Formats: sequence, C-alpha cells, structure tokens
Amino acid sequence: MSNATEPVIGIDLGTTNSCVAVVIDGEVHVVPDESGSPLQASVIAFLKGGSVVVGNQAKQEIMIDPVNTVFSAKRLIGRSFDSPEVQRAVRTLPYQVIRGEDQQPFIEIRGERFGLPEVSGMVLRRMKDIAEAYIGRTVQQAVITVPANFNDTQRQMTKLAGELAGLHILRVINEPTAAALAYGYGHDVNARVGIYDFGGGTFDITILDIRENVFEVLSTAGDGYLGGDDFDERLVRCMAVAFEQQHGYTIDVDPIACARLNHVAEKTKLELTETDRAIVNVQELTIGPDGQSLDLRFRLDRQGFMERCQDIVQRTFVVCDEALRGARLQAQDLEQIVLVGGSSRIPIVREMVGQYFGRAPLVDLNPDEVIAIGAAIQGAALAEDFFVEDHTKVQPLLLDVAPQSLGLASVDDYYEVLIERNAQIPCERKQVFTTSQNGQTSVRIRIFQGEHNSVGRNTQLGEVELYGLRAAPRGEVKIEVAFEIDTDGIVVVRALDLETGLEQATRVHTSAGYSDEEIEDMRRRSGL
Amino acid sequence: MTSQGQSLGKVSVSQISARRRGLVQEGGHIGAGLYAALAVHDVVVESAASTDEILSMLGKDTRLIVLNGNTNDDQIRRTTRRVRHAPYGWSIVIIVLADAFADRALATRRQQKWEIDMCLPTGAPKKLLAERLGPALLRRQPISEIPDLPKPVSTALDELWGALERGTYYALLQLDKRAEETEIRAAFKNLAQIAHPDRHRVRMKNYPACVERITSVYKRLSEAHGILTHPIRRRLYDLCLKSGQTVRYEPEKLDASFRSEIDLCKTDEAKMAVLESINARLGGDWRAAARYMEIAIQAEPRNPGLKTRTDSVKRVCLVAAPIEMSIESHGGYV
Repeated sequence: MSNATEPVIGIDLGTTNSCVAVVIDGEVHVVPDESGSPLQASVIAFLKGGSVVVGNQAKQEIMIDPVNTVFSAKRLIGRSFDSPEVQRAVRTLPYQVIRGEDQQPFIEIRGERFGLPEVSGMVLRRMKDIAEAYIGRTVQQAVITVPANFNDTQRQMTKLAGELAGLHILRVINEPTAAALAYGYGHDVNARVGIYDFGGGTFDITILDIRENVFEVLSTAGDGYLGGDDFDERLVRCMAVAFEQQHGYTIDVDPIACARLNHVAEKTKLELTETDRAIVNVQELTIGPDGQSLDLRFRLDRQGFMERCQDIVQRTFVVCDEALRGARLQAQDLEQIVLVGGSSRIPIVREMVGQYFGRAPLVDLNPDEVIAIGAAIQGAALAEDFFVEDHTKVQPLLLDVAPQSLGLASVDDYYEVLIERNAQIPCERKQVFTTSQNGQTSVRIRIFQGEHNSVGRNTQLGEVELYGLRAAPRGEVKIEVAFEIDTDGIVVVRALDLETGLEQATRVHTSAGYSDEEIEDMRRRSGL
Repeated sequence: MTSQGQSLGKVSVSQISARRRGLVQEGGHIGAGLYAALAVHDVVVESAASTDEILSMLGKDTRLIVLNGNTNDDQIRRTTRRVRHAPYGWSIVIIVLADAFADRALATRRQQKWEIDMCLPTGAPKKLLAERLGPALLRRQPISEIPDLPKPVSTALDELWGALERGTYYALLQLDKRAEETEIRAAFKNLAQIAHPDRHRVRMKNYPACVERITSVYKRLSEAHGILTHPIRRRLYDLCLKSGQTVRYEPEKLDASFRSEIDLCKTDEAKMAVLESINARLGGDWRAAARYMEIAIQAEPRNPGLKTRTDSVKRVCLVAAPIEMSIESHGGYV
C-alpha cells in the first residue's frame, strides 16, 4: 500500500474482546495499545462524574461497578427486545436493558438511554484511536467483521456503530471469511478449506474454495446458540450434581453460588485445556439448611470432560453437515480445516474435528488476532486500485454468500423465499406486486430472513411499504420490486412502477431498528 | 446543462477518437437547443429521409437516433429491434418525437416495452429534450469510451453488458453448452476478476453510473455461475432455454405439466432423471424419455404420481416408436 492511499483499518468487534489491524507497506500489523496489548476488552465503563472509559481499563469496572459497565453488547445489537437472546440478557446482565417505544432495546445508565450501536460505536472509536496513535495519522475508513449468521438488522446496526465512531465502513465481512483471508492470502493456498469458527457464544462453519487469491465462499452455516458457554454450563451441572452427592443438598436455590460456579466452571475448562486433570476446591460455596457452610470438592480429568461434553461438539457437526450439503461436498473433500475462535483451543474439540473431517485441523492461527488481520487485508484490497499497471501483488477477491435465505410473507403467511441462502452476493431478485383491492394506494410487504417454512419462525427484518400508488381497479397497478443483498450482506429494496417506468417510492420499517430521530440523537451525542 | 451532462463532457468527450453520429429523421425541426446539446456531447447530426434510410446508415459510431414526425408504430418497432440486436458496444440512445406520444400513459408503456430512451410529443419543449439528453447518453455510454480502464477490460465489460439481456448464461460465461463444471467455475472466476464491483471501487469512483452497470453485469454472472454449477438447476435451465421463453433461469415460465412432474419428485436423483426425460421428450426421443423415467422410479419406487407419469411416457413411447421408424424409412423429417 502506498503512502498516498488512505489507511483502512480492519476491526474485529468481538463479544468479549476486540482487535484492530492495518496493512502498512504490504505488511499486516496487529495494532497494540499504549500498554502493548493487542486485544481490547469490549467493555464500556460509565464512571461517576460523566467520563467514559473503554477497553482494558474498563474491564475491572465490571467487578467494581457492574450496573454502570456495559459488556457483551454484541449479543444484543440488532435484536428486538422480545427476542430470547435479549430476554436472557435482561435476566443475567447486571446493567439495565430497557425497551424502546418499538421493539428496539436500549441500555440505561445513570438515567441516560443509549442505543446499542452507540455503545458498540464507543468500542470502535477506541479501536480507531489506538490505530491512529500507532499509524500516526487519522483513520477514516474501516472494514468490520460480524459473525456469519448475523442477519440484515444486526449488520446494519454494526455498520451504524462504525459510523457513530466516525468511520466510513467500506465493508462488513463475515468473521470466518476474514479468518480465511488471513489464512490463505499471500500463502499460495489453492484448496478447498473449511473454517471452523467455534467462539464463546456462536458456532460458524464456512466452506471456501481458494484459488489464486480468489476466495470463493461455497457455503456457510451457523448456530447462534452454540459456543464455549455450553461447556461452562455443562461443567456447572456436573459440579452441582457432585455437590448434591456430597452434601445431599441442592445448590440451585442459591443464585450467588450458581454465579460463582459459573466462574469456576470457566476456569476449570481453561485448566483442562492446559493440563490433564483439574481439581476444584471451593470453600464455603453456600450455606446449608442447618446454617453450616458447605464446600465443593470436585475433580475431573480430560477424559471425563470429553465424555461429558462430546454431544456439544457433536452438535457442531450437525451444522457442518448442513454446510457441506450446501456446498454439495463430503467431509473428506475439504483439503484443510482451519480452527478459529476461543473454543477451538479445547483439546476435545480439536480431536473430534480431526475425526470428523478425517484430517488433522490447522490450529496454529492466533484465534484472537486472525479475524482482524483478515479484515485489514480486505480493507487494503478495497482501498487499492486493482488496475494499476505494475502491481506487484495480486489482490485478493472475496466472493461471499448470503448467510440466510431472504423471503417474504405471501398471502396466507406462507414463507416465499426470494434469495436462497448461500447465493453469492451481491445478488438481486425481482418480483412483481399488484394491488388486491380497488383503489388501493399502498402495498405492504413483510420481509424475513430464515429457513423455516412458516413465516412466524423466521426473523422479520421489516416491512416495505409502496405508497402513493395510482388509485385504480385492483390488479391494475403493477410494481416490480427488486430485493438486493449487497456486498455487505445488507438488504436493499427498490421498486419500479411498470406502467410509468418510474421509481416507486418505498419506505422500509425495520423491526428492532431505531427511528430516524433516535439515530439522529445518537449521532449528536457521538459528536457527529 | 445538467450536472450529468457536464460530467460526460469532462469524462471522455475529448478522448473519443471518432466523433459520434446522431441520425435524425427529417420531417420537423428538432430545435436549436437539441443541436447545441448534441454539439456539447460531440455528436454530429446527420439527417435521413426515412426510417429505412436511418437503418441503412446505422453504424458502429452511431450514438443517437431521433425518430421524428410521422413515424408509425411499425417503424419504431423495427428501429428498436434493430438496435437491440446490434453488436455489443453499440450503445444507441433512441428518441421518438411523435404526436402519437401525446398520451403520456401510452407513451411510457411503449417506452418500456420497446426500450426507447425518451419519447415526447412533437410539440414538446426542446429544452426539456436537451436537458435529458446528457443523462441518457451517459446511461448508454460504452464503458470502453472511458479512458480510465485498460482497453481489454472495458471492451470485455461492454461485451458482457451487451449480452446481458439476450445472452444465455453460457454465452455470458463464454462457454459451450456442454462445458464441464470445472470449466464453468474457472470461467466465472476469470470474469469475476474484472467484473466484480470491488475491482472498480478505486479506479471508477468518478463514474457511479458505470459501476452500477458493472454491478448488474456481475450479479448476472454470479447468477449464471450459481445456476450452472448446480446440476439440477442447470438441467432445468437448459429446459428453460429449450422452451424458448427466456434466457434466464425462470422455471416458473416452464410448461405447467413439466413443472408439476418435476415437483412430484422428492429426491434429487429422481428429479434429475425426470429432467433428463423431459429433455429427451422435447428432442423427440421417447425411448430415452421412458428409460429416464425408469431411473426416476428406481429412485422413488413408492411414488404413485411418478409411476402414473412413467406409465404414460411408456405408452407414448410405444406409439411413437413406429412413427420414428416411418420417418427413417422416408429418409428425412416430416
């Protein structure tokens, strides 16, 4: 990359940690902060007196002032308040998540309301600042990554978060695809590759065909409810059972003890990643029925852990099967399996993945940094002119797919798929709509994302309203609507009046989205 | 002049080697305003006495046709059809000035149907025409006229753009109908290298209209790739082509009886066999058609609907066989 080009940073906006990277003179740099750390906690602490601390310095505030410290915002972004994820978060997160007038969630801190893109934007701004300090010049453009199974609203909100951080978001790319770029770009990879991305809360598998730096995604599949947390929960169960056997008393009635167990479980999981056995000793875990304090003593070896957690890993293979079907391939057709995501560190995961695909997976990528690296590579490719006469480097070309089917509700709530999942993006499907009543001047189209046959079980993205139609007998006005998924994986709707050939006015009401005024408020508060 | 018109001037006019011709049918003055506008766009106006003369004068450097005066529907249709079937890179703006277009609703419908860029009644203000001319020319401007792209690339893009409406997926990917899947993949990747909008982000940032056009070319390429690399969809697409209704994958336009027959199948194997069978039937080979139906039945032995279909195909086969022989005995087609 020449000095004349504007730098483009790549940001991995994670649930727990975020990371930023940038390409300088053809080299990828993972950007460290002032203290040399490549990772930033995705935590925002609202201190007394109005100042806000973001990143690693904010992390300790989770313990000190949990009510005024926001973390795991990624679990909430772009979701509607009534969705199970947000409902679960409302129950478990110490800070306050409230419901806006519509379905959109807000975070309330010290009496002030913040939209989710706003708080994520604060993390992104921190990443931008770190990058600027490192490069020594202002940064205005970025590529941000999202989980492959993020839907349209989640992507749009993430993009908005970037804008609120003062960044022009060149592209939103999928995390496994970014990992593939980091793995394959410039390394002369020509193979069919599976990216097995097992994170804290989600699992994604993406199958790509990489040839001569063209990264063609063949299929992608994911489970938004499957991740490292499931191992923790399983261990908590095991410990609770062990405790009950020891003392004849159930721990489930003590929420604080359960929270402590959760913490212990996570530690145990990490320990079993490093060592062959873990011995857990928790003193005074709870107070028994007779008022005496009860301890927990629990030991588990790697073998036992494997036996107890096999089914969790097995569930990832159900998703893998789905992705393989989507790519019309067999497990053994993949020439390389790349493991990314924190949970891929667990030995049992590595072992079982090796068995499933019939080959040892590649584990030497740094799961914390690989996604930001991929984003930075894509950013540099987008900023560079492809048609320069003497380009010494071949630029990567990313051909990604739509992660979920896009469809609409037809007459009797039947889900009609317009764009199938795994269709390459950008893509477009046109459909002609007409009025069903005499004199009707507007048509509403509900659009959804998901794979279920019945509309209700898919995620409603919003409603497109065609308005200001000519009053005419029913069926006479014909409007052609083009549904497009752009290169960011975001849905764009355009409509054309077939009779006049003129662009038909549309309004899109997004579910879980914010109103224009609310977005304007966020911009103002972000100093834009 | 409109802003688009100005940007056209800035873009390329000076770099266009040959001046562009505008063919104007006589029979009514097109107005000084329009002449001035054409001069700005470096279009030299030549007049012709009739539609026939225009068609005979049509050439590679033609950018504009103005049909004037008493042009009737038939003449308009002939002109637009001719332009639509002109080779790639002939990006011609068609303007019709005729009293028949005083009815606005009718005019716009025809405009859509016949791909006329602009139609106005004879008495319409020529200033309006001049204003809209710039954007229309820009919309139809060949990418190869833009100096910023390497010539082979822009020519290839024009070619793709030209093939967009009437080219089959095979033609778009420049492939034979019998191409192997690996060839299809390779052809797509080669074209994606130059036609993916990401490749044009930086170089073409001053030409949003062109990037939009390239994007629509790319969308069609990836559609073609998606259909042709999916065995069943590819077969279905071949059927679409055979039915002659469309050059795109639009199975909904297929004969209803075929569609219902395909929908009978639950498994991919049966579906594939039925598709082959229908293909054979369309080619008149009923024996092969019956054979493929047998394969479908083997894949789904407990499918009564499929069984019924198979039986009727076999019956036709029995009836059709002697006819085939009689054709052979006459040594040619009937």
